[in-house]
Amino acid sequence: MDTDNLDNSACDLHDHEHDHDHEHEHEHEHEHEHEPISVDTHETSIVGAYKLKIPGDKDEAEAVLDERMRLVARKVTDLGGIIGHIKAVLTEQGRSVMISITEDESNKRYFDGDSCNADGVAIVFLIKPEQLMDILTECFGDIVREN
Amino acid sequence: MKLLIMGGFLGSGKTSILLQLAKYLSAKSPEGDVQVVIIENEIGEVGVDDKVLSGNGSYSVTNMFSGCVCCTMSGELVSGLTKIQREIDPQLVILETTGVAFPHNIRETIQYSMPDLECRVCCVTDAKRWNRLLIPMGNLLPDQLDRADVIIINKVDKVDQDEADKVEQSIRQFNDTAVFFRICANEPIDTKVFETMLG
Repeated sequence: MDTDNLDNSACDLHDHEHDHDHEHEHEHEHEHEHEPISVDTHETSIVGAYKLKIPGDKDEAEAVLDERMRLVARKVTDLGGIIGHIKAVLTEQGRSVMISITEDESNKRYFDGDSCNADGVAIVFLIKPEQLMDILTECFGDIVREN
Repeated sequence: MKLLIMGGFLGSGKTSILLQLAKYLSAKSPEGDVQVVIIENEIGEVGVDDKVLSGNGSYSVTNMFSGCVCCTMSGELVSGLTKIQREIDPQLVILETTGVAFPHNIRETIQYSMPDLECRVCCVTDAKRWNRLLIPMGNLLPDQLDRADVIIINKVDKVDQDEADKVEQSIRQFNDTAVFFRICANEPIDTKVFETMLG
């Protein structure tokens, strides 16, 4: 979505910091953009995003994700932060098929996925962006999804 | 076309209510003659609520990420609404704002550009966290309630009657003209709530 042609005149209550080389009327602060773990700021909120690949079936991955998200929450509050919302969607990688064509013959090979993907955000207040980045890296660093 | 703006702080239960509202609208119009478009505005590079909504109904879900429509993306919202009106012209557009947006600002922006569009604001609050968040989030929570038509106090099952009364009393300091409802969005919501939200 192109955010460069926005009319920002409607609201003067919000301040953003944006660390891009193109021009914006608003300000945003991005760190590690397009990385599996990133942290932005929006007004007074610190917005962390994470993309994960968790080994195991849905039940196993759900347990891991739940535990790690609770850990994020605990670390944020331990630092005196306030949790806005920490949430994620877990998607099971189901049965897949590889289709192979050489001449006019189509070969199909079926196999089951061995992991789940999770996409989530952690929106918090009253801690520093670097602190949230450290927490997310500590809690999710070993299960990030690179693509 | 009518617009319902669903506002309220992060985690207050906007999406949970929206899921039930969408099902209510679908059930009310089994032939699909009431067209509904849902606009999800989320901050951050990853969308979560749009995936939940897309997987739970037959309505269109449009995503607006990486900015808040009450400030940085206000122009994009107006142009998006104009396009929806021109190309789909649904009976209802529901905009779920980010949890840090000021719904009344959004309504003002839209009404400036689209003065004929009927626009209602519903603000969702969290009974369990209201008192805990009010002081640290004192610049945000009260202003989110500003001129809302309907205020829903959600998660009343997590507090006792006395606490729910105190929460409502506190909220009424900031907006005493809205229609108030107390609900638990994890349970079926009375259709009267939806009818009032829609106006």
